[in-house]
Amino acid sequence: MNIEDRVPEDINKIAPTLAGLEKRNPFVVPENYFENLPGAIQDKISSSNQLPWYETFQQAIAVSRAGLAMLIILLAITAGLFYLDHNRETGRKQLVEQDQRNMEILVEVEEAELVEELIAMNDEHSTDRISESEIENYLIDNHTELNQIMNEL
Amino acid sequence: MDEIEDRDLLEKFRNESTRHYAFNLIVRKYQQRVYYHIRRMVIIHDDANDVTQNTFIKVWKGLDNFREDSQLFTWLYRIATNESLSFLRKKRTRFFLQLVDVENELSNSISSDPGMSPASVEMKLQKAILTLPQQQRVVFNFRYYDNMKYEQMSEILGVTEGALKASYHHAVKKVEKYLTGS
Repeated sequence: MNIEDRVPEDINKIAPTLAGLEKRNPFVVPENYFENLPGAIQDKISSSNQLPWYETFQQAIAVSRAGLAMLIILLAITAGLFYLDHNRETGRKQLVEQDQRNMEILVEVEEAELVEELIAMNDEHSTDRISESEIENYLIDNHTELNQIMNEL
Repeated sequence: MDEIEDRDLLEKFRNESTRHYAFNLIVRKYQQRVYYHIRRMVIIHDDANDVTQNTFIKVWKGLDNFREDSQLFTWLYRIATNESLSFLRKKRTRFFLQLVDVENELSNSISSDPGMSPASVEMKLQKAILTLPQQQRVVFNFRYYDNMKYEQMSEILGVTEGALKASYHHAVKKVEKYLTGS
């Protein structure tokens, strides 16, 4: 470094001792320091452009975290769809099984028994609906003649 | 090597193909001035080396935004000064040291510097400079060693020329007092 030997004039009056000193640089540097410094700075710039290992690791975690979240969401959706489909299938199977059981019961019962059962059910219903006293009351209330009934029959 | 004008260097820096080459030239052109400015502040070579490298890394990162409102070297000096002061502040915090203790430590570093003879005037001058408050120390170094104009100093430090003149005046008187032992 070239430091001028000339001391600034403005200190001559207020600091004669300082002004009388020969100005020289007292600091020394290692040999070839300034030849190597630009290279060292370039190396540091290059390495500062590359991410340190922990930042690379953090980025990898961030990426894998996003991937993992995506995977979990996909799995949840798939599981949901599978569950709904499975329920629908189970319901359908239960209905088919119920039908089959009904058919088996019908096959086991004989036709004559069924006819008898149906007639009995009809009779029950007809007697349930109108009693004899109700018929009598109806005929009296409406002044229905016995002859008229006989004619109609 | 003939020194290339700052304007040409900046133009080359803005061109992607010559960017690294131009930056290398900027480092070569200013490294000594920047290094010695930092060294006078932090005293120890290893520290000065670190701070100088950090300064130029900041220059590399910020040069795209440099608008040429000021000269390149004043901008470099501003970064170097801020980096030096920041380094000293961190050093003080790291070791829980008072400002005085840091200056004492730096003063001891000067005593053990292989480049300085124990009884030399240079050593006494450096120790005298270390007794100054940081702002005065910066101003003194700029004016005494770099013969820098107050106008440029004002640009670097963001302080009025009048305040800088007063600061330098006080610094010179304190150094003189230290040197004469009065």
